[in-house]
Amino acid sequence: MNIVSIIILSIVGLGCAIAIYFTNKYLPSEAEHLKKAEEISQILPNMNCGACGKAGCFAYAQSLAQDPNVIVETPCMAMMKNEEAIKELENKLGMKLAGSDMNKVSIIRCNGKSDVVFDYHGINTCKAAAQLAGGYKKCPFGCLGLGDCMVKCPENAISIDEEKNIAVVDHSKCIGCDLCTKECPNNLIEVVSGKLAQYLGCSYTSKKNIVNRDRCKQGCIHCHICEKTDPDALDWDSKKDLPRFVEKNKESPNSVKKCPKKIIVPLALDMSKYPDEPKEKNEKKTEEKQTK
Amino acid sequence: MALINNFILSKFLGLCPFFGVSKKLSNAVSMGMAVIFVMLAATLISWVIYKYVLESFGMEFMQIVIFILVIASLVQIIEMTIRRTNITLYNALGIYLPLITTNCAVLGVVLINVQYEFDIVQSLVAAIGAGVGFTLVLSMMSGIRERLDLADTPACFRGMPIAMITAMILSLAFLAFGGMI
Repeated sequence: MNIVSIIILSIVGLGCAIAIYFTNKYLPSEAEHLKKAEEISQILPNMNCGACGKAGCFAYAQSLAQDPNVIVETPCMAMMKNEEAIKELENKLGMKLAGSDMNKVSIIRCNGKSDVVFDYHGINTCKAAAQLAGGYKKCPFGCLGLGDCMVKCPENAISIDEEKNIAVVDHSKCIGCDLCTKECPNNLIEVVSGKLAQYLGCSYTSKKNIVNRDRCKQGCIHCHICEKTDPDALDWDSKKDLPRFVEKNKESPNSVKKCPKKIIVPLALDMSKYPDEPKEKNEKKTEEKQTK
Repeated sequence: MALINNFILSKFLGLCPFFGVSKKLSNAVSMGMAVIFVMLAATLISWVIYKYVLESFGMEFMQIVIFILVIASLVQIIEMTIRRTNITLYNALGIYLPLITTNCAVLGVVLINVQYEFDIVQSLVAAIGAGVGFTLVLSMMSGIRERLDLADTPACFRGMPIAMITAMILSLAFLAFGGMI
């Protein structure tokens, strides 16, 4: 009895093994470009963010295997920060890529803690909150801080700043996949080149009047100081009543420093290159006073 | 099989995909389709093996081992075939095919067919019923869970606990089908 059961189990197992072997052998092998697509998709991030416009990383790899020029027209943003993967992909496709020059990041054009007009206890998403009388914050253009963009982010680069009650992007993690821009009901998020020197962190427009709404204390106060300090880099957008950068990649450290509300935020601009001289003097003076 | 003896809510089989894959409706539906497909194929093959190999040698007690072996290799073969012949279908079913290999619902339907001494047509109908019931409950659950994500649940219930409670209420509702007949 025992022997028979062992024999039957082995025979059935052997039969299964043989069946798998023959299906493997006699099925048409995968087409050439599918094999290549498989190899390429192993290099790709495989997070299926959809930023390239394809249905997923494997679909992107398939189109790359057929025509390598696709990567120039619609580059995979998610791997531009990964130097090794880019090199590997260059070898595989046999072409040179611009690499980190194509790097993009998303920015949120809101910088502050706006006052709350009414308490909101509805569905916990920005989209639902924005439906109700233009949002619960005093500034109708502000970030609602309920994290629609945070949920969408494939890299967990967006988090909610508890103190400011707005979403903030960690630019070292952001891959510029453009998924968050569609989520924001106030259209505050924008994907920009990683080389952009600085950006304006406020979207308030005084031209659009809504009853009982006003700018927040952290927003642009339309003082024109930035325009006056750095007329080369900035001019005034009278339509939106906000400053505007003429040349996108031109560094303007003075306007970053001078802005009384600190809403001109440096991005690629390295502020440590431009030490804050007057402030240091002030500190020294206070120190001197204290010693006296 | 689909409603009264529902595999998930009455027999409590296949609970891991029930909680694991029921977060999104689209995923749940493709998982359900894959399960229907594999259940049908597994029932067919295992019925033949049970009838002509196990029964003729009087080895009915070996059914669990043999069925596991057969189902696992069958899923392997199906996955390989789909991958080589129809890449779009493979992408649609995706990771769900290999996931099903160890799904207890597939083994369950095969064992229940043997237990009730169904013939081949009855077995196949039972397999379709079980698969449809599985798909139905999985898609219902995922629809509810998509809504639940938006709801403001108490912190201690967030995620899995509230899913368990939802499953309980669903299960109660399905129990009523048993009382109708």
